[in-house]
Amino acid sequence: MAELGVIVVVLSSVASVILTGLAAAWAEKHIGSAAIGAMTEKEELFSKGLVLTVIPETIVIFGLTVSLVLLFVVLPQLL
Amino acid sequence: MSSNERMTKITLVGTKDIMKGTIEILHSLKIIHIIDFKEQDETFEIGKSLGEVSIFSELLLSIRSILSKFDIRPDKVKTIYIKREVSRELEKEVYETENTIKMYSEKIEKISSILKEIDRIKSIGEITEIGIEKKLISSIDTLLSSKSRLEKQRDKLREEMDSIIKEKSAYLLQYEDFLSSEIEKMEAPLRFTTTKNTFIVEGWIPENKFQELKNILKKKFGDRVNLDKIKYSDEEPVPVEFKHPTPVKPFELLLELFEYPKTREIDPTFAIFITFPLFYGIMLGDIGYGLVIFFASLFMKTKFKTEGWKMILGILEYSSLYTIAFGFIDGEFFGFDIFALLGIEEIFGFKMPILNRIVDFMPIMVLSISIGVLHVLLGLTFGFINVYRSHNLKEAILKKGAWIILIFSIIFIASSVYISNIFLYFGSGLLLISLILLVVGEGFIGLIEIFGIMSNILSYVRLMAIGLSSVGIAIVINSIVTDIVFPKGGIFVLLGYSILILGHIGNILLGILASFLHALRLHYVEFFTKFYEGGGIKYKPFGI
Repeated sequence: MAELGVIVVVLSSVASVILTGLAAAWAEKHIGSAAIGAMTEKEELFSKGLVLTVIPETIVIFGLTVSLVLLFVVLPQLL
Repeated sequence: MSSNERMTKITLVGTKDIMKGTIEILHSLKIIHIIDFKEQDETFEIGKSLGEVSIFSELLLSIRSILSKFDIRPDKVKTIYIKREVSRELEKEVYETENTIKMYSEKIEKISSILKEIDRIKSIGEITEIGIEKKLISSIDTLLSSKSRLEKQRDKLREEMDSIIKEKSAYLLQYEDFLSSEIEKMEAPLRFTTTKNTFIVEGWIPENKFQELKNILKKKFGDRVNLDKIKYSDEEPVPVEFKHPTPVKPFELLLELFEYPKTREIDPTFAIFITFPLFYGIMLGDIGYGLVIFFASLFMKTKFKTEGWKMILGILEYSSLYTIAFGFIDGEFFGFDIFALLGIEEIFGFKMPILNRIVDFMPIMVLSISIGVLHVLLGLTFGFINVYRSHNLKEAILKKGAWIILIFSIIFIASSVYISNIFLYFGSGLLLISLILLVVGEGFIGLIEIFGIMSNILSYVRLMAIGLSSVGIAIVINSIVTDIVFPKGGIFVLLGYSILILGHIGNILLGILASFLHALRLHYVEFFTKFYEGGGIKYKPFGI
């Protein structure tokens, strides 16, 4: 059964990076286009738009962290 | 830390005949931040500008077009120029200069277009083969042979124009400066409130300048003018003038991008000065990248001299110093493990590198979260002080103190695993107290906020994650080159070097942007939300 556990852990760590990456990209796409739209009206919003655009990056950072913890903390205990 | 200039709101009332003199004085003192007049009714109306502004504006426009076309800037012109009064003569001179320059550039353009035609005819090839009449061919030949002559003439014209511009540039700059301040003075009444015989100026001045202004006005105009302090409400935006030491100055930009602080609020610029470069350094942490950014920003400082660029480059300069420092801790030089390459194993008894960012990501993660806890605690402490100043101690404890206790209780509970069980009981007690305070302060909704603060703290994991991805890219670039490309030898060595250079340039640009934005985000979203309200405006004294 240990092997099933290993497979599940590895797949989860893969999924956590891929899915959160996609989620962050999707969110940033919307924010980015909205920010560009706002910028055409008011150019000085550039800096605010830039900061807002990176806010969803937290999602993928958490995903990466979860995946690292799964691979380097959880996995060694199963092996 | 509240070292900013104290502002006071004033009204200045005077009779209309001294309006011009008053504007002169205010303009030369450069201390009053005028509040623009807004509401009109029967008695109070907006002032009219003094004299014909349109002539001045037209002149200014043509001068500015020359200045921008030939890129004349004050820092390029060495000659010192003296101020002159605006007169008909001066006006004529400006228009004359404009016309001469126009004439020269038109001539040059014509010659250039002829030269272009000649080149085109030449590119056709031998004309004789097409079957054109002989006469025509000979005239074309003379045209072609005149090319070098025309080129010479164009260069001569260019030289002449350049010398004219060089000669006139100081004078044009002086005139531009003079005209724009003159227009500002003439248009000043548009910002005043006026009645039939009086004018009223509302505005802000630094508190310590009040008496000085009052004395000057009294001396000059006696009883015809009156200056008073007036009360203002808390909601009103008060202009802020920072009084920071020079090293801290660039970081004012980060407040400008967000919002200026209110007067009674803690000004976080000094805290940002410490934490922003620290976060930046932890994220980028590479000796090579740090050096590149340091010298690049030093170099750019000589090229870009506007206020905004100076601030950005100043921030980058400090941040790059931290980057180099953390590069030593991580032992990274353009992604290479510098200490392993040099064969250094320990310095002062420390195993080098102290933290390898790929292998030791767990300790770095713990470090990042600890920094997060400290930073959020600092924000909450600022918030506590702010609420205490604007309300009272009870409010401060309920609104901010509860969160501080909550975070401490979690620290105690977490550390009980390593230290002793007493910490667990102590922590639980604190947790209970903080929860009760939260419910009293904000109701049960407050409990939901706990998740918010947890995610705030966890968000600092990015200090590790952004760094990891930056190192990752650098190592990939290096291993592609050293393991795959270089061993092939020959021409591939060249290719290898170009991959190295381009790859690292890309990674540096990415690193500058990502580290900057994420450090900024940690301040805006995680830090500022704990205490910062904002709502101040920039102090723009009349006359500058």
